Amino acid sequence: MVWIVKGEEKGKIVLISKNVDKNAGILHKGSYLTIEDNNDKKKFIVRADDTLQHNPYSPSPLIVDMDLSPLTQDQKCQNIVFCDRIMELPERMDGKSSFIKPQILARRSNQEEMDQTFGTREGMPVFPATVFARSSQKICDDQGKSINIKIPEDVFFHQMLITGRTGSGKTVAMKYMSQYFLEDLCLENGPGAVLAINVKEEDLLTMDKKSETKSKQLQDEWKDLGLKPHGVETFRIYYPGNLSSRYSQDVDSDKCERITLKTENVDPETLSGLIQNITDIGADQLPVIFRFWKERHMSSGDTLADFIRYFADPNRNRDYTGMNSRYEEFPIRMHFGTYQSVLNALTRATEYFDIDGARELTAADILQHGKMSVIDVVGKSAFGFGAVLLRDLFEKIYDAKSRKEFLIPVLIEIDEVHEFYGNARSREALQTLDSICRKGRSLEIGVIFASQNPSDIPPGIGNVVNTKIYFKSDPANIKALGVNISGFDPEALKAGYGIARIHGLSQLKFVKFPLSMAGVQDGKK
Amino acid sequence: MTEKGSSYSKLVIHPKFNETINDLNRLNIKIPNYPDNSEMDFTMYNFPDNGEFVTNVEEIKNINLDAKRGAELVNDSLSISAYDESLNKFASLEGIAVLISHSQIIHHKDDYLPSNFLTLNFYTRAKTIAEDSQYVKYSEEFETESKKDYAIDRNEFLLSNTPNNSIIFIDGPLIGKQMSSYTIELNNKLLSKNVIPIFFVKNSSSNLVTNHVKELKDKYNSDMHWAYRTLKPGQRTNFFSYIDKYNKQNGKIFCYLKAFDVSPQRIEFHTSTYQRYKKKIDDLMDVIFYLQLVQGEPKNPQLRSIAIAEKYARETLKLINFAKVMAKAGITPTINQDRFGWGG
Repeated sequence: MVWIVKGEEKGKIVLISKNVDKNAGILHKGSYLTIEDNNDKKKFIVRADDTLQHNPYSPSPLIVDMDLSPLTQDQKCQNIVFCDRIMELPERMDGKSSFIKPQILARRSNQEEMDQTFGTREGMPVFPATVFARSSQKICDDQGKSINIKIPEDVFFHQMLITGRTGSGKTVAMKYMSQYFLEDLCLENGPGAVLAINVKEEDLLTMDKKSETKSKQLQDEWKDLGLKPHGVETFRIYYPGNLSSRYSQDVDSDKCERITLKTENVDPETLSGLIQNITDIGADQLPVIFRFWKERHMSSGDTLADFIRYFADPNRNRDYTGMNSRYEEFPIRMHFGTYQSVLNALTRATEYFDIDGARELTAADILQHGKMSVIDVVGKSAFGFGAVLLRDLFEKIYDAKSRKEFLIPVLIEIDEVHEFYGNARSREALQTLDSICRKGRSLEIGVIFASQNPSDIPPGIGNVVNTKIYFKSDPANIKALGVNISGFDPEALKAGYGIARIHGLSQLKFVKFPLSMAGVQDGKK
Repeated sequence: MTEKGSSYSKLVIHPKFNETINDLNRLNIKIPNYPDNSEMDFTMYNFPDNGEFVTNVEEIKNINLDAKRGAELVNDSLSISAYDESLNKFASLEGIAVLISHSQIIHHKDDYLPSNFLTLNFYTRAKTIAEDSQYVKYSEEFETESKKDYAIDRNEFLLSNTPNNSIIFIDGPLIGKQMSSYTIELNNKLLSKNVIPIFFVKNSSSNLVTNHVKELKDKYNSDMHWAYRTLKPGQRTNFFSYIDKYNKQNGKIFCYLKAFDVSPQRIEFHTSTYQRYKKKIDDLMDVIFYLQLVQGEPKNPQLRSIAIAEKYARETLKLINFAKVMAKAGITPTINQDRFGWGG
């Protein structure tokens, strides 16, 4: 099937199909076409921004009422495509772009042209996709072979937001990215390490097992990309030390480990960030009180409970001595309301600290080449623990990376991010995460936020998220991405298909992620 | 019709087209930017007064048409083409340029296959200009001369493009003034290819029927007026015969057909066509009725096939950016033409 350039209208290149075979049809939105100007030896790559059916002879509908058959010639249909210019090959260097002349032919772009267009031969392979009406499909060339493109690796370090409803392919896409990061990252210090939070069922707990699917289409996708299903070799599951292991047979119990936080290792400055639901004044006063206690009162083997006893001692009558980071001491009088709030928060947090038989995670546990660490926070109170642990780990990872103690790139995946940061009222709680996001590129720390709703992302963090991939979700969210989806029902996006705004890859609008090679078993996903 | 029907789709430019342009440039003749886009005007090409009118082809009556039968024939077996033209006239101080797109479409399997033929002629009353060029034509009356050229080009185009054993619908009258001999020549040559030529007239003030039929005399302004009053939508009149008193070759069989509740159209066959295909004529009238319904424009009834040919005629005219081609010429156009695009 070929198209003919009609001209330019309102900044869009208009193409009209020429029916030369029985495979004629409506080209989907997001498709890439190559317009070849053989006289000037130029090629133009354009992307379909809008597409429609055109009936050139616009037959009269009157005959329907007359019960007459139509003229077959009148039933001729054409496809009109409104395209955005993407690239001119070869590119001009004189500050001008060449004219795309009317009446020249266009055809679907092939793999080589797509590689030239996206300019990336290295990176994580995905399928560019198209949408129309209620259909979403991968892009194929004229021979029907699916096209793939590579997402550059530095996209990971510009932070990413993935949204989508349950079953939209959001988690599978995260798994696919994790495995790429663990095994194929081509950076000097790669391959990387992955830290992920499991928030639902056993979603991320079987990443050591290869994926299985009966879908021929998904198997063909693997084949097209030269991939074979296999599990992640170095894989650990960490779960709250106050809970007992309660996993199904699918989860390898040998790879599970109980974890806790040690009071003796907690930096006073991060304590407020670790403790949820305290007031701003409480967040200011608690670290200096805690530092004074650690320096002047703490004995070997003391736990958070000992600090709480000190803090709640009625003889003290809410009068404390604070110690700042320069070890200067000063008196503090805590307001009753603040005192009560801090006491409640500390009491709630004790269940995560200093658990017998559980060990504390360090940056070294996470920052290992090819290792995927999953913190499982499914279960009673586990989200609270996850929030505390996450902040502690972030601090450690950020600190270790900042000091160049570990050069290995790390990818942090936070699903349902609002569960961990939604109630955070103190700046401290977000400070480390914000720093990680902002310095991600130089420190090679990537963060993928996943959520059902883009507004769940913590305040302030949204500004540093440069890549957004929206799987099937609320149409208003997708429109907010600035992608033209007129004529397409976003509710009809199939699993794995997403609408994307990827850092440095603005040419790509619609994307299809292949099934991850690990952690997905047919029937479960 | 050939399976390789797409080979019919073409745009042919008259061999003298470029030479004419070159000569106009050489002669420094400036053609204005805005043409008068129109069709050939045959409204004044009525039946000559010297005709012998015969009414005995069929009994005078209204005949119901069967669109379903027409639909079956069109979609099953008939090979159909249609012709129309569109023209631009550019008036300059030195004369008039006439750019014509002759357009024929063929009903192919699932598409209309268009063929178009572009011609350009320049007419002037200045002998000195005409004598300086073999492509600029001297003419005291350019309308007459241009119609002659039009007829010659049309005949050549249709005779080389029309498939054998087919039906062709032609927009315009069969007989009328100096066009008659050319059109009848075309008709005869098409017949020799087993092609059935049928001619269509939309607007006519002719009163041949109302003048010759005693009961109708003085009651109607024109034949169209009578046909409109007497016919219901979906009917045609009986056929009437007209034969030129001095040239028996100039004969035709015609009727009026009313598809919608507006002015009817006149359908014309040459006498020899009618005689040869008499048995098929009723079927063809059903086909014509169906094709008018398919076009579905009650305010401007037109045969579907001719309407499509007209579309292509207009579109192909646009392909020639005449103003740009002529931009190098330097003679001033007439004021009205330049400012308002008034033709002719």
